[in-house]
Amino acid sequence: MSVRGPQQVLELARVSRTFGEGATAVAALRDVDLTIAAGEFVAVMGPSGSGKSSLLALAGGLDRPTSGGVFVESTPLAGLGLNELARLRRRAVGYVFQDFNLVPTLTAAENVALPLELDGAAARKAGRQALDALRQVGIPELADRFMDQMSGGQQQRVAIARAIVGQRRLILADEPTGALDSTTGHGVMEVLRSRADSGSAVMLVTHEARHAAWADRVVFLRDGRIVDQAAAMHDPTFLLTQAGL
Amino acid sequence: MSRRRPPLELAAARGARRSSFRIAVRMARRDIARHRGRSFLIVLLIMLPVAGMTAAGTLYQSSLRTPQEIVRYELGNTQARFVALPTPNGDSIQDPMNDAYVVSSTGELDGDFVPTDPKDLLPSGYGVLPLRQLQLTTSVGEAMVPLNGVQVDALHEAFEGKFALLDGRAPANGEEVLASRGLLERFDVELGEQFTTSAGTFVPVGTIRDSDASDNNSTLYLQSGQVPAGFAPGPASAQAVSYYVTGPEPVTWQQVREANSKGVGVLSRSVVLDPPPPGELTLPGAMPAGVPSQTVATYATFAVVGALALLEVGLLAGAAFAVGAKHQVRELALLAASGAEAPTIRSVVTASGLWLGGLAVTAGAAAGIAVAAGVVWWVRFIGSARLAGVHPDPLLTSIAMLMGLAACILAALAPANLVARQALRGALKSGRAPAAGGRRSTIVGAAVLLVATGLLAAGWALGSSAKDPDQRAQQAAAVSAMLAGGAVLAVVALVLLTGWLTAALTSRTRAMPLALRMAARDSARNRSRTVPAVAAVLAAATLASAALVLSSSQLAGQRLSHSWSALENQAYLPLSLAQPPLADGTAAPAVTVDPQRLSAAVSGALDSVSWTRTVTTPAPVENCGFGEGAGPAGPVSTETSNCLLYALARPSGQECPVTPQRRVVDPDDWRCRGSMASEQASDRSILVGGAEDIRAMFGRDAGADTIAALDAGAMVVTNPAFVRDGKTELQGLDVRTQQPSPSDGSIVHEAVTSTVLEAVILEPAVAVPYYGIVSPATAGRLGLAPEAAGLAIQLSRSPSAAEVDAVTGAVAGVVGQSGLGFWAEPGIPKDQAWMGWVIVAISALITFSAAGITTGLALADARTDHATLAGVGAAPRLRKALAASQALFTSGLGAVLGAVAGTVPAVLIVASTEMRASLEVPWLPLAAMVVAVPLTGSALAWAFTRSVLPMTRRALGG
Repeated sequence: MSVRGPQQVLELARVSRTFGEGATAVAALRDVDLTIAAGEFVAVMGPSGSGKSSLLALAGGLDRPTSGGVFVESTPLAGLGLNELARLRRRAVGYVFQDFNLVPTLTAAENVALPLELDGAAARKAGRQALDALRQVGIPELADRFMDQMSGGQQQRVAIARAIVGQRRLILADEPTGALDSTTGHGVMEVLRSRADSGSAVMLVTHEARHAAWADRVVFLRDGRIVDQAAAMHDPTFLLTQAGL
Repeated sequence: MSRRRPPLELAAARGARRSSFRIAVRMARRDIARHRGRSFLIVLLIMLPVAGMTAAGTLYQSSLRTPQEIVRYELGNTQARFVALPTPNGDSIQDPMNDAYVVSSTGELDGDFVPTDPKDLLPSGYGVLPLRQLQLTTSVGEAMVPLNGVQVDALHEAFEGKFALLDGRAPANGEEVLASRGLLERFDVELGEQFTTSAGTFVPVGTIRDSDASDNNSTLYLQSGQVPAGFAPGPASAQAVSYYVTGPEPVTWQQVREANSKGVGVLSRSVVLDPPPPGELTLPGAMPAGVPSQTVATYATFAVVGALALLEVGLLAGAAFAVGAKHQVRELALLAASGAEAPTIRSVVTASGLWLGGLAVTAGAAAGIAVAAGVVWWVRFIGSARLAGVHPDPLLTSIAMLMGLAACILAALAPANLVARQALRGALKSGRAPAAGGRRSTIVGAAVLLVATGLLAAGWALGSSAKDPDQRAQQAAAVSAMLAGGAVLAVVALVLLTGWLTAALTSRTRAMPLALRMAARDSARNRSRTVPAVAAVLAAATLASAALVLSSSQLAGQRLSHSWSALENQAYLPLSLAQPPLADGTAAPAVTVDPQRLSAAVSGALDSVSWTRTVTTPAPVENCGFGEGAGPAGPVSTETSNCLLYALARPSGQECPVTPQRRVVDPDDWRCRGSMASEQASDRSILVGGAEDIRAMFGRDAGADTIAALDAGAMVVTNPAFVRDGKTELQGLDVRTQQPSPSDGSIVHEAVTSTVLEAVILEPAVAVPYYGIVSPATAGRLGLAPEAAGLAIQLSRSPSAAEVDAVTGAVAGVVGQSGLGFWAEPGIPKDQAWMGWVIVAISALITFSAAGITTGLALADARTDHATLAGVGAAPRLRKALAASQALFTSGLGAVLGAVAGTVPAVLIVASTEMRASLEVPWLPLAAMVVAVPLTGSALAWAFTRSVLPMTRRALGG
């Protein structure tokens, strides 16, 4: 049983998520307990269908658990209304999707500034912060481009910039390097590591051990359960082997 | 690393709503700009129904004159028109807008009331311009044909706006006149050529338009000095002369009332422009003019069709917005994942709905008004007075625009609701949110269906409860309102139930072929896309089927009530022409005509003669009442005269039931329908002949049994109402006598002979005015003195006015005298027969649009599925089959539901009102709409779908 403390940014307490009903019900997560502290970088690994993405969606308030509790900064998400969940996502949680998920009708800078503008920030001020975020991911010159004018790597950097803009306490990344070449992927990992080092909690879902090696801790999922977790080493593949994954 | 962090704050931030809306508007605007094709399609689909509705409303309003148009078209610049008012007493009030219509009167006939000549009531101090209607004739060949004459100073400046010179110039002398275009065309006269009429020979030098009449009328405009003194204009009515007064002072309502009390009607400029309050239009104790029940039923019909059309506007707009829904679900999900609240999500789609919907409904309304204006301009340009001017209907246009806009926003909100229901993950992955359960809409739909069924049942029960036609007329408004409300609610209910129906229908698909099975399941799983499309088809089919039944029944009603003089396009010319009595009071011998010469003359004048046939009848009534012993006491027939008219008697109990006021109780009663059901007997009510005559005059082929019976001495009777137990009674009526009928009190002739004959029934193609036919042998045996009485002429089409003039002239040349009119039975109006197919075609267009939209969306959604199919070896043709199946499912389901939802209320409306006798369900167009249209839509989807399956699983979205 985890202990809710002031340093904990994310806590999942006996979280289960089941899709469907009756005979067709599928349990994506079963009684998962997980905490991530401020400044901690946690990688989640596991085979396809093990529940990684479901875990991330619950942590980001994109989905609700069937049972159990999800807490962000000690705030129970179950007690939040839809609008409060939305505010949580734009103020405290940065989400990086595998397939970028940029709004096609907004420019790169507008995509990055979107959470700030949605929160009432003046367009100019939000734009300045967005440009800073783009600078952090190394593509300030692409600020005025639309997503169909950028490569996949560039789009992913914009998505990361959107996730880190403002005072994000929790960054959730769902295989953010899946569509990128190794050099670009390395750059993305650097950014995420840097955010963790500056105090944000980071949870990364990945298939690749070399990316998990950037994490402070690696959590292994199988059939919706956490089967092991350990401090990351330079090559965590041996853990996969130990866990029978 | 441990750092002090501020607590998590989730309260709403200041200015968030404003900046969110700014983003929403920006996204919507860019989305439209980036997807111009799709946006154009959406705008077009919303625009068209709004334009159609606006155009229809504008054209209807344009057929009604505004006070300004009444003044301009009827008075020109004059102050008022004085004309005799048809009223039985001095206690009558005219319509302020119509000087020939009494709106309130005691209705009592005052025997002492003598109307004043309008000329004697003209106020002093005004200039007077009389306008006199004349009945002129002109010769065409040997015939004299009638034409209108108007004696008026048409180009007087006071008539500016009423009369307009189109071509030529004003008359300069006593021989020159003006004429309508129709007159010049009909009589093939050029300006400057002489034209001879019964009032003299004139030279038309200009064509003139009367804004109050069609240019096609044949009218000659004479000035006062051009009508010869003593010219007898014919049997002029009291309204033949009207007086227009000019002057500075307006004619007041008080003056109009005073004129009314003396039997004179006044159309006053000032009264028309500033009419009296309604309270002044009813006499104390008098009944105001009621609204005829026929009018109520017509309004009810329009109400149903109009309400369904408005609903259609909304549903089509909704279907159009489904085009962008898939794309928008994903985009909204992205926005929500970035932290947008539900109001922000809704404001994005509202902005999109407002942008596109606002543009579409505005363009639609503008296009509708522009089209209507074009039609009005064209109608007035070609000289028809049917449309007075362009009168947009602000209420109907606003309602159509609001319906369209509301539908856009509602349809656009659907994806927002899906995202708001936390279907975020699915939406993000595929752009498709899981199909909603729709339980609430199913429950509401079922409840609305119950209410609709109740209203329809109550309306039908109330309408059917009254047997008395008077009572039925009184209830017509309430019945129609209930049925119209029920019809609209039924459509709403079916739309709400469409999701449930789709799921229910697709739950048993195992036995279907692969393509149909996949299409059905795809429809069920993507109800947010399927329901708007099915609903749009449903509404179109409802509207179309209701319009089909109503128009078809109206047509049938016209057919039933039409008084047929012969078969369609058939003319009858007598071969014996009675002559005026001689100076000594004795009868002049009738002029007989050679049928061969007459036939040749007619065939020579017309190129549309299919055949001519001599018609034999019993001896016609001739010289009756002339000569010695011609009184009622004298013999009914002599060598030189005949007063005997033959008719069939109605057996007791087979009379058409009527109310004490002699209204037909039930027009659908078999005793009240068919040949001679309401016509009076005539010389040619009984025919003499054989099988060929039956075919020629009845439009039906007689069977061998019928011919055998005819030859055996029986009569072939056209209406079973005259037959009982296989026998009919042929009566000879003495036309000199009159007596009340024992059955219904009507005045009839006394039957002086009676013969009972064996009878066989053969109902003619239409209710031609013949009791029946006997063979020549039977006629001879019965002493009917058969003789060739006339020539029947069958034409292949309706003759034009010029052709009628030509044949009239040719006939006059044979007969040796003018005045024998040629008139071919025109039949019932044809316009509405093809209207049914136009309705089906419009319904088909809507169906194809909706099915096309949903099929296109389904194909786009299923790209990855198709790649999978390609991977497992599916033939490329499968994509075509899937598209065809999708279109078939959408259009078929919508068409079937719509046909039921439209046909049932329409049938009930017809069955519960005075139209019920003519209930006709047009099965062929309905079947085409339900079967042929969906199959055609499916075939089109097959034809226009590429036969290529994608080989890659490209990520969706973007």
